[in-house]
Amino acid sequence: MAAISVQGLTKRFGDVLAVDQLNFEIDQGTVAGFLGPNGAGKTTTLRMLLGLVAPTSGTATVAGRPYRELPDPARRVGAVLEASGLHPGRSARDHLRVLAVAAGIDPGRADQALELTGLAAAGRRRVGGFSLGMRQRLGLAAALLGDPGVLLLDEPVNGLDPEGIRWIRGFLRALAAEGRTVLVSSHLMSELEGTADHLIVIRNGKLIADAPVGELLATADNSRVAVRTHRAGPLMTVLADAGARVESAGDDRLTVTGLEAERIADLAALEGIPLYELTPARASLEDVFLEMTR
Amino acid sequence: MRRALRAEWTKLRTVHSTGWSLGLALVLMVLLSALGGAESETSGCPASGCDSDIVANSLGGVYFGQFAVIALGVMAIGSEYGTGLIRVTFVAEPRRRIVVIAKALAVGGAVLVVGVLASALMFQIASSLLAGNGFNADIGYPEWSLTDPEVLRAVGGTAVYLVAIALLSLGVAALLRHTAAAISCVTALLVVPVFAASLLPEHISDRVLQISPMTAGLAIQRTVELPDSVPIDPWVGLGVACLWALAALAAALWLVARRDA
Repeated sequence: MAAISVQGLTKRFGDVLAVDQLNFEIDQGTVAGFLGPNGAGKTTTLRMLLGLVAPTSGTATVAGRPYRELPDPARRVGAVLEASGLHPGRSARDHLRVLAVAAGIDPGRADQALELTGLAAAGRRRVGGFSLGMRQRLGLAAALLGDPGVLLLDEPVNGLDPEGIRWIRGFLRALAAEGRTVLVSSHLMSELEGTADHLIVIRNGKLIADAPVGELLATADNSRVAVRTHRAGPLMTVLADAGARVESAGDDRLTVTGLEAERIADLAALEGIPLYELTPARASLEDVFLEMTR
Repeated sequence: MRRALRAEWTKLRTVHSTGWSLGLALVLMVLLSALGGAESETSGCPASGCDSDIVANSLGGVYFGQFAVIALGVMAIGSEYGTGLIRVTFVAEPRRRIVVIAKALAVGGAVLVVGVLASALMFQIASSLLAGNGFNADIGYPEWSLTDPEVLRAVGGTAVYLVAIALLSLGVAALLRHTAAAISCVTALLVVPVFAASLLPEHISDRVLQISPMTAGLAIQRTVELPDSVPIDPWVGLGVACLWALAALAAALWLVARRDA
């Protein structure tokens, strides 16, 4: 059974169709990236999955049921909604204890969750003084209170510094290794590269891709090669004659598509053109994403 | 329900603004009543009899303290809408009505305790100051004690009035989902009728004062009928204030489950 299922999901806010006939399923134990540009409908979809926003039509279920019908939802589903959602005057530990009590979880879990997210030392500080990274960690701590099998994370990487991003990636991988299902949204592909095994891509509320990461990468044109030479002009002609698409990337740099690195080297050698750099670049997920959401 | 109540109680307990607003309510009420008592002078009773309402006057601090109670009631849910915490709350407990009811019970309970304490202190301190300033049996004023039924009604009723104001504030904040808007709205609801009534012809102004939460509700403090008394039975008046609170809460409960969070 799919851990997360969205069928014909539609949400209209007045004149705006925020989510439009969305269909996808996430299998148990999968880390799925939920991608789309800002305003694509990711947050609205996640809020519908959590029963916060009522769908105009269609269904959104987690662990087989609409969230609001789940018995003990916090033990099945954990969510990080946004970096806010905190009372600035309350301590991190008290924030977690309140949520634990509300969800019927032992408040002692608050300390464990702080430990898990590296916040143990800051637990008694007021949240108002927390950095964005600490707020994100606290959000994750709250999501993990009930030790849930499904996690819905809305832009948990947004606004983090590189160290924070690395931490979250490692953390998500650890959660996935424990067999949890994770749906994590982002508007930046690079944030999810190396973390997600499956990608759901939406734009303007519509699904535009739903596939394993490998499959999406394979669809991309991945024969791009970066070349550097002081005789860029002649090399461009040679490569173009050989059927490649060549773009100047400034000064002595070229970007070549349609020819393999080996062929480029051979052709350059034949013409006596010295190469200073020859780098085959596999298309990154970022490229695929930009291509799709253009 | 029990765990929702425990959670909401913990929420109130773990932010400083609760202590501040309840403390401020208490201090404002007692201090301003005491000031009123200390500053009042009597020039004796006219031939028609003594015409000051010692009990109501000694409880006058409520006119100021109620604003701190409004802040508490509004903040209890307004701050959650302001920060987005409300969504976290509704994810933890998807039965939203239970959340709102639990908030009402937690806020109402806290205000009731502080309200009883503040009202009793106001009466004790201000009435003895008034007695010292000549409002006493020497010139024909009754000597009230906290255990007199009229005093118990006024003191207990003042506490209940404060609970009603807190719940009205909570309900309005849940409806408007905005702290500043809710505080302005409740404040206007309490104060505007007083000014409006002063400008309107009497048959209309009486009606305005009878249905407005503050003017009707505080009729519960009255022990002397005066020409400018709001023409409403004390208990009916308190009932009007409670009805306002119930109506606001009922509207909030109705809407909270229907609106997107």
